Amino acid sequence: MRLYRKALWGVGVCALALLSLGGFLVVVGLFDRFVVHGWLTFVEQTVLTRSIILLIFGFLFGLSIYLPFLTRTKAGGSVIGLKNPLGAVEISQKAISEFIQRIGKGVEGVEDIKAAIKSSDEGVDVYLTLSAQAQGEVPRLIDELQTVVKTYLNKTVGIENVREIKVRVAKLI
Amino acid sequence: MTEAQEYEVDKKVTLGLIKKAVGQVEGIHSIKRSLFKEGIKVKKLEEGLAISLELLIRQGGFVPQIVEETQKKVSEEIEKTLGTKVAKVDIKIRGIKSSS
Repeated sequence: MRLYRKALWGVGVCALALLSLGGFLVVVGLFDRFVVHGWLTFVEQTVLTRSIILLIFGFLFGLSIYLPFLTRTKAGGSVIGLKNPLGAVEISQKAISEFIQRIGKGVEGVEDIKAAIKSSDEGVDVYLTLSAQAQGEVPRLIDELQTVVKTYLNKTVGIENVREIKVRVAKLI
Repeated sequence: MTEAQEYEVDKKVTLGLIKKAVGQVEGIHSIKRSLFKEGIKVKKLEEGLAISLELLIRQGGFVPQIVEETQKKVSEEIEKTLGTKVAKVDIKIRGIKSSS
């Protein structure tokens, strides 16, 4: 997720949490509603503070409309395009990653594996993070894993331009 | 000589034919569904129908072959049954399901 999106989500979630917490405290009786009313009345009295509050609430309102759209576009996720004369063909990176994880776990010595894929004009890069068994030979295991993943992408998914398969051993069990 | 007949086909009929054609392809697990929509879109273009499908496929098959077979089956089914030209069949693979 891009940094500005993270920031917008952070602001949205914090604002929602503060507003709901404030509402909850007022309803429960821990916070007097007249204090809130008095504070809002005080804030409204000068033009400058009123404008600032207007800007803040306007921004939050805009954010409440923008965030669901952000989720909608994200739902489609990133995809890898395959060549085909009969129409556009896209395969979601999430689907490929999940399947790589499944076949990766079938390699002897792999305890757990996470896969991520990046696609560019030059080719497809695969990033694997794995937990492996300590008694297994790690170089052999990585070599086998890379071969299995590359064969799968070439022969099953039909992605020919696999550029790199980077493996990071995160844990030896 | 008979005059060319004009007729309209309900969208549900087109969708039914697409589902039937997709169901005949061995490597397809199902058409992707979400809470509010099904993964089939049909648009009428000047060149013919533009069909877009979101699919879940079965593990094991060669993906480009499954995709091509689906595109051909869908085009054939629509063109043969309705006599409507299919301009393109776009496919989005949303998931790979194990065969079990």
